[in-house]
Amino acid sequence: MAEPSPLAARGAGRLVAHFWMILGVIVVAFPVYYVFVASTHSVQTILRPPLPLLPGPEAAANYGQAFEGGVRRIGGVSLWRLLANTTVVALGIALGKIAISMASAYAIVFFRFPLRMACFWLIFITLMLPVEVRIQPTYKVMVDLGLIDTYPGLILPLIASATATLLFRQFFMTIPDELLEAARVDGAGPWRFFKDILWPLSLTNVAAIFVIQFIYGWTQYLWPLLVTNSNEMNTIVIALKKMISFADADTPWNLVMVTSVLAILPPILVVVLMQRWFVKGLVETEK
Amino acid sequence: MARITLNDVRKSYAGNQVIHGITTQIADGEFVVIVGPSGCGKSTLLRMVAGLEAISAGTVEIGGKVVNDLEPRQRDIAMVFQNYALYPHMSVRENMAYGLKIARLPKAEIEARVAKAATMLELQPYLDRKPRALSGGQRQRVAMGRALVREPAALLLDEPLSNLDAKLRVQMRLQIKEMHLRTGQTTLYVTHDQVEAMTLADRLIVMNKGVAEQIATPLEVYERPASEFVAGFIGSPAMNIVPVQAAKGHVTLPGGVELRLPAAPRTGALRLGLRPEHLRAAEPGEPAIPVLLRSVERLGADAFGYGMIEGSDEPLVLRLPGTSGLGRGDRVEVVPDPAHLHFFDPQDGRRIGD
Repeated sequence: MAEPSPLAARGAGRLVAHFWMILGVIVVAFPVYYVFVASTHSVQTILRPPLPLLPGPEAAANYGQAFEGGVRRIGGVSLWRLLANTTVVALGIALGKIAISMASAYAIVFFRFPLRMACFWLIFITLMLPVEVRIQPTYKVMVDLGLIDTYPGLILPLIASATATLLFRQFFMTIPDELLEAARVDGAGPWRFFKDILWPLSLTNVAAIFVIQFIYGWTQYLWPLLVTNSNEMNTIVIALKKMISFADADTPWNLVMVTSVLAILPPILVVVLMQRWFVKGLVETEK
Repeated sequence: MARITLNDVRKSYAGNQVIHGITTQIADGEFVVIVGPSGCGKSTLLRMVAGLEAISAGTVEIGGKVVNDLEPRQRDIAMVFQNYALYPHMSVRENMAYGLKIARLPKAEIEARVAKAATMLELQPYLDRKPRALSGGQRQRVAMGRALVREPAALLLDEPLSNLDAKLRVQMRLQIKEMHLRTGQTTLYVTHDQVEAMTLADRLIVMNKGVAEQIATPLEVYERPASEFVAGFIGSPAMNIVPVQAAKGHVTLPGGVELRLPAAPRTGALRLGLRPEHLRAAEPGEPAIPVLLRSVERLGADAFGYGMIEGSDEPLVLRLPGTSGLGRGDRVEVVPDPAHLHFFDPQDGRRIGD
């Protein structure tokens, strides 16, 4: 166990601290829990207030139904397909961002070339140009390239990332010059230096950025909504939106809740599984 | 192994020259130390030989081949850095083997060389540790090992001992000397520490403000410093430099003391260099320099007296026996050893005479 922090509160202070902490946890976690509870009850129970606070008996039935075509009936696409689509998009965005931002940060930090700083500032100002701002021209480009309703169309416009480039740049700048020089004397060229030294040292940062960008990709809403027409290419967030905006039928809330749970689950899993790396990458630089 | 030739090597940053044309030859197997105060350009010079710094003018040859435009890896050199620059994610073994792996040496050969270096540096127990689990001295040895396994034409060391504590520094100094005797590696070593410079070097390059003030053996540098700067830099405590007026057969010191010194190379204003260890107590009645002591530092075997020439503000440092009972306020009379007089030009600081 860790030593008690010198700031550790005692007595009443401790109670107050815990009160606020628990309150905070409830405020954040309760809606999520309620979604899970709702996903284990029948539509009738959900629609008849109050909603029970404990999970109901319909869990197996609801989840089975959702996977076996329930979602397809209302959304026109199977839950499997939705999960697969979203996974491809989130992974594509996360990995693409890491590849591109690492490469550009590597170039900016370790190489001297004309217009180096100009390149840096060009990347920097894209911070002010997220997809939402440039949505019309980006859409036009995607149409011209014939990328509507394709994975590249979903992924590419979201990949270019100033944030990740800046993070990698900051990290690369903390690498001592002597390390690079030692590698040069040892005979490592730019590629070997990257592969053998920079990449292993960056792993925790890569993990942190992966987690952040995976969730960013998983929860994308506006761009997937625009760039997909066919239900087959929907991501899970879009499908959810479509499921609850049905006006002509009673919304099958139990299935909506199952879909919600499944939309929440993968990001949580990624965070939980990569938590140690994630925290390390954000707070610690191992050199 | 190879010879290194520097031919009028210069370096400028944006028109500002920091190395002003250095020419010398380093023989095969020679141990040359570049010494000077910080900012004198000694590290820059070494890095130019290593290929980490571009050469603005002149040529560097390693093994008879001009290497100006070659990458460090093509120059057949190895380098030890001041902060060791070990790869933090690699074990000691991997750190040492990395350069050999890149050079695509056969696995068995790599292992043999690493094992040999590890034995020589007493690193076998630590081969599988990461650098962060090592002490400063061990890290330093790994850095040495990483350079030695390469068996380079020239070994370059940039203040390799400056991050160690005093005791370890002495140990490593001896170890480096022994290693050089064993491997006969052509070595270029940068330091600001005159003890390291004197003890390790076959030859010294004393640098000041980007100029090689003197290139000679340590003893020659000590006995015949080429300039006032070298005289003040090599030797501890530093040489006393006293302004004098030289006439035929004698010189006049500040405070009006006259000494019979037939060795003065010319008349007029001169600067006279006297090492503390070359001043002896005067016999009664002998013409001598009277010194008023301000303080005495006792080091055990020796004591150093800091004082001023009587009748002037001119400071003078003396070496006294460790048992000397002298203290603040005492007056001593000393006589310089006529075999160890140094005269310098008051304008340019160069040595006059021999």
